[in-house]
Amino acid sequence: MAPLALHEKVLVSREFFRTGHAEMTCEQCHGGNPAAAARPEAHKGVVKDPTEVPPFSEVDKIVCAECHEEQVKTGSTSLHATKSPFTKVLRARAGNDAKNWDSVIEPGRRNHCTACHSSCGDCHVSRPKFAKGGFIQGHVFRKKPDMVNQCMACHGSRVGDEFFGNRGIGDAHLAKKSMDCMACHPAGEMHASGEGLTSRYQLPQMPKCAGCHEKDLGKVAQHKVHAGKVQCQVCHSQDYANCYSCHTGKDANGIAYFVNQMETESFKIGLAYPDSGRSEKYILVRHVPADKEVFDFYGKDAFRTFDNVPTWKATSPHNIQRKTWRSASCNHCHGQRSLFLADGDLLAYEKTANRPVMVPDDKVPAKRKEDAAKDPEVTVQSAMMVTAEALHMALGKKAPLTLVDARTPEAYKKGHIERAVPFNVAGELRYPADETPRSMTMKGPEELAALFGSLGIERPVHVVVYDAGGLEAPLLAYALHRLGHGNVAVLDGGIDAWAKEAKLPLVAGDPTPAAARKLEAAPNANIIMDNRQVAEAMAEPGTIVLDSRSVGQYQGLTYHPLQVRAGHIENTVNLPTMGFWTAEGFLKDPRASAWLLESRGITKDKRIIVTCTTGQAAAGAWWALKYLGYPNVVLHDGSWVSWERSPMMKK
Amino acid sequence: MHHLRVLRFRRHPSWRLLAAALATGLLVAAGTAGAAGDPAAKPASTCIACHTDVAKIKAEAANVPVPAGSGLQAGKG
Repeated sequence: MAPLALHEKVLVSREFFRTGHAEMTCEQCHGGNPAAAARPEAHKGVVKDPTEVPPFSEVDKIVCAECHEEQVKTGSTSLHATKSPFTKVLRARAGNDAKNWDSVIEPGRRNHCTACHSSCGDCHVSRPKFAKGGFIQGHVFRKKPDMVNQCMACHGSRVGDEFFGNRGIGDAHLAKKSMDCMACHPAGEMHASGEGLTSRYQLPQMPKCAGCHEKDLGKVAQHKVHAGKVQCQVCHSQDYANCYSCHTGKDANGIAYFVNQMETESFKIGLAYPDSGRSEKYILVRHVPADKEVFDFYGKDAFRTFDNVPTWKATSPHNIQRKTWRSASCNHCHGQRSLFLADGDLLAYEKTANRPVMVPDDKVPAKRKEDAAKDPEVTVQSAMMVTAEALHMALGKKAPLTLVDARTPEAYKKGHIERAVPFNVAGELRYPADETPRSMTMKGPEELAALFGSLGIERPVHVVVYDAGGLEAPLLAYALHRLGHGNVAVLDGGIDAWAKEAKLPLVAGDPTPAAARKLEAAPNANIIMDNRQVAEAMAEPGTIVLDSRSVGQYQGLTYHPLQVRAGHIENTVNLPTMGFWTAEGFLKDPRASAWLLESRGITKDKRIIVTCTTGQAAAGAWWALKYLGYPNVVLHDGSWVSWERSPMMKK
Repeated sequence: MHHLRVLRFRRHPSWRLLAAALATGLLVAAGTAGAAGDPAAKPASTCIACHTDVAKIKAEAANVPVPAGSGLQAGKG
């Protein structure tokens, strides 16, 4: 979500004056001096957010209470307003030392852990302060919060990425039924008092799957077996992000920040523990970013009793699907020890508190012999991907290969793999978006051949491409295929797999100019289509146009900066690229990816045209499908950015 | 709906002031309330004059210092 410009944040629309809230004057809520002629005088004494929760003894002073007394009364003690469980957890971890609390924990709590608490206005009139504020509709108050600008402004990274399909394939509630946050989390829950709770799952108003799906429980055999014992999400969620080692501080401008040292996509089943708020025996657990040293910026050894509270906490990932890889077969869970939280998953200083969450060997359900489900048979094109270790070995042997760094020139300069030549994919591979009608289409074969030749790439040379775990490397690798140069591989997991996981060295500095080669272009016209070709092909039987963008983008809720219009091409199938790649840039388990495609009717006998916004996510899908052995995969050149600027776009 | 708004507004602390203004006919002249639906009927207070004028507000915004920040504080849950 791009930040609003300063003037946009405070611009009051004419529409506002047609609403009931305009019956009050500005100064009635905000104070200040409306008679003053200049900004400094006019703003003297102004309260930017008069809906902010004051000290609880003065909660009656919240201006909203004048008319919305009941909502303010409970809302001011709601979880959104107070973040009270955070404080309780911090107290449990800090130990009984008032000085430590006052001097170290409390400043950290205020600046970081509960800084995202929200006022009435943060949900009903502006973006939350945590997301730098700003009116979302010119000061018009909205009864129902805006999912993108308000809910996701705070819940955008974990929940938002899962829900929209920026990680995984998104949530069926959004994809199939266009349900937003409020569909499951209505005002009754948002305004409910959270006093005395140690977990949000203890809130009586929390939504229950059975609230809507009760009638489905009796229909499915697996539901009869698992209901009440296994949390619904265990079977109906995809992998989700786990965060580790949050560290906090203030930058040179005194702005408080926090940063997670590690984020990884996985799936862990634990046991319901005391205070989890879950009634089932087996629940999904997510590693929270809490760290013993999280407040070291404020003072050392603040968390003397850190191991009092589990770091693997009950979770309900917002990436629900009716069919998942886990539910495709009993034995995708049964007998899979690695899916169940074990001692080996725990850090040294978090073992005691997580003991009740861990699943001992005798509690891991045994493999079921009678499971008839068959996994798809997958033969991957293994030469298309290379691991960090294999690349290291090849480089060590001085194998004749050209290594290309597809990240930005700045990232290259900071640290790259030795022998790599830089190629700025974002700037050099495609025509600019404003260059209609070529908007974001790939440069012509001769131009590309000259560019790649300047990197030292020639026909027989093996090329390995890496990026920062994004989709630049697959796009560059696709472009080489487009030129008829198929001898190319992508580094699985990108630079982090090399440097952080394999702990292999990087070098810093500018590149040494490569000896230019002449690369003859032998364009492969079978793997690319322009707008007109896509429009014609869509009508042909056996063709699927696969839109590989996130569900949010596909539905027009979120958009890429280069998009003029939000939305998608008619009669396309949405399956986000991140169903095949982890957010860290690793290709997912090929069996799970193959199953996912087949379960959506995307089979190898069909021609698959992949599209997205600019062609990059589509290249990620193209690469994954080819890796899985799909023979007929075509990329929509320029994708939506080109399409919406072309006559194909229905006005 | 309007009736409901009026009822709610009666609970507002400025109700007494408003009632007095209505009684003396000052409300129409001052235009401090009751103008919902007609932006033009609003008084040209500093707040409204600036906060509804893109050019003015842009010019003012250019003078407001904004700390650069490290960019790290954008992390979300």
